[in-house]
Amino acid sequence: MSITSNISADGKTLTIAIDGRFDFSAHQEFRKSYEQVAKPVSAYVLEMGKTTYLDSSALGMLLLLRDHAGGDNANISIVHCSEDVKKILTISNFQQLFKLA
Amino acid sequence: MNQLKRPRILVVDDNPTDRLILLSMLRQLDYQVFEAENGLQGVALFRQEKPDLVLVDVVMPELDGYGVAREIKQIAGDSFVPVIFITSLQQDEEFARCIDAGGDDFLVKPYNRILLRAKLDAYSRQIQMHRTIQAQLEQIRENNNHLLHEQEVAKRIFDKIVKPGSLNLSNIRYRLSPLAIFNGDVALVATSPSQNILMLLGDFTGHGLAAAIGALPLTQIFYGMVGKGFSLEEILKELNTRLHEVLPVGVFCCLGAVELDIERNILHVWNGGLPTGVLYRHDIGEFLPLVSRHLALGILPANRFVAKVESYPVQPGDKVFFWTDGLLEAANATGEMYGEERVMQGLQNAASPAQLFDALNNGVDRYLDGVVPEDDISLIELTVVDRAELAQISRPFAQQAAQGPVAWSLNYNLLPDSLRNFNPLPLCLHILMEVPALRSYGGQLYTVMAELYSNALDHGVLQLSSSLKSTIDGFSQYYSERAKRLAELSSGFITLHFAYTGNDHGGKLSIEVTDSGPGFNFKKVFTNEVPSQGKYSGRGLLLLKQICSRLEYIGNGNQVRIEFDWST
Repeated sequence: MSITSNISADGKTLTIAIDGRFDFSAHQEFRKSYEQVAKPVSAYVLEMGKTTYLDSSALGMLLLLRDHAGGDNANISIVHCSEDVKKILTISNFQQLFKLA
Repeated sequence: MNQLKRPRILVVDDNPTDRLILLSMLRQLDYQVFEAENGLQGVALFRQEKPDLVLVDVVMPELDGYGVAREIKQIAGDSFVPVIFITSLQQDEEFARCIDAGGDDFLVKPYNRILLRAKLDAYSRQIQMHRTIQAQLEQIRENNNHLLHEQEVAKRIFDKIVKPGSLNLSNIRYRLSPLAIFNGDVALVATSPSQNILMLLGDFTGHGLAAAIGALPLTQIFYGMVGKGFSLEEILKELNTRLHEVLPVGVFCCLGAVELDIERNILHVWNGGLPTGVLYRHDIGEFLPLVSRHLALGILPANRFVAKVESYPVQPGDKVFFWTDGLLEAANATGEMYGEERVMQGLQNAASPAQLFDALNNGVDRYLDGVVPEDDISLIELTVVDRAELAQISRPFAQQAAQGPVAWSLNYNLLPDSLRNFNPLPLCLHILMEVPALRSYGGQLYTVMAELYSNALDHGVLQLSSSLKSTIDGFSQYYSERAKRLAELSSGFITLHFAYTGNDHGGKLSIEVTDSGPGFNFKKVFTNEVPSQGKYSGRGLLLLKQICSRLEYIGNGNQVRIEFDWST
């Protein structure tokens, strides 16, 4: 598991890439990736192209990010996720809370 | 543990001169030392003084250095006591033998002061490090014991609150580990006053107490509301509201829930975040998926939560299954997960419907082949039975001596906004139960009220035709049309009128329900009252006639009156 993040050139979008298993062991790193941003951003992109697995605590972490990003007004896209990951997200009906692409 | 403490050193050497030289060197280096003239004395002194490091001569009479090393290592057990051999031998095999005997290092005579000092410094650091780790291990062990103890206490409390309810009903089978609650899994079953069976399988995120804590409000609300006759949708709304209030962001409860209406053979299902469950249709031998269509409980605020259930017609012999993701994610020795495909295959290959549960339960155990899964595996099966089969339903109210009101009446008028969102029956039942003599009839009275009220609402105010319910497609159409008309309702009313008179020996309750609808041709319905086989509607009136001493339609049929008698 590794988490990397970077901010777009215009400073508006934070992209967080999650590689490997996304589970409770990623908790602190994931939080750091969006809490330690110098200026607030208006959009978040979760790059899950290399995410192999999500567990329910990862779903909880996504909700924490959503809360941090403004709750119902949050603008968060989850992109490039594999069929397996997508399935976990749709079973949980997270498409109601996040943009799944 | 004292960070600055210098190691205390035991020197075992039968040669007095050598011993003296070594001791004085050690004293100069500021070590506290003990000396022994032979192996046996060395071991005895070790037991007595518990030094931190031992320097021992290899060649000694009686017990030699190897023997001393073995005994000391055994006495020291888990704690790290370096044993350094002192030898004048210069052969490699000799050094190897020292290490084989459990020694950690060796020093060659004559002593090199610089080397001795460096080695002792290095071992001092190692001893210190080992002590720190040991202390941390101790702390972890202690914390773990503390945690286990807390879990035991918590479990005792949980067991009192999270009572098994009706999990022991003969038509329920389940798998739930005794400590499931600390893995966030909860299974609850309860029967309502109208003897509907409500069943939940919940999976809270996280582990330990944090996962268990949400089970308390969940359980209390569930049992409380089922006992008062609330419907599954109403219970789900309340559960979500409460969990949204109490759970921190990121903690939620995936839930599969069903309400089985035994009287009408309808199954209401709601799935929020639990893996796809299964409805097994006995007559056609097919498995219908019960898909998660909602977010888990506790995520959405009350105004955005959707409690809408899906309704299926069922027959005795049909079965509902729900399981937690622990079943799908159970990984065998090679790390491969059990998965949905194997689950469905197991179900399809079951020899008979009675073995479906075993197919799931034993299938995963065979797959795991002794590997302990990371997460708990919880699963539950509910078999649809007819009322006669269900012998074990507990009576919600005990019979008591006749006291309380002897003559009263009540008029309760419900307007569109109430009809849309509010179920008046629990409140009505509550009022009726103020009459002690009526308490043992709570279930029957609730059934009567529920029948009268749903007829008045569905066929009277909403003007839905029950003929829609004669096919399976029409059945779901009926429920979606019902929801649509309810949402759009702008006028109409239902009036409930209760009147009771009674004494110690008997009494009479009348209930009159009037709705704003156009009424119906009740004479025609009464001549054709026995429902045909396989029909999903029409049982209601028959049931009312069995329970009530009198049933009559008045006016256009938009008003119905029943009488219920009791006597001792």
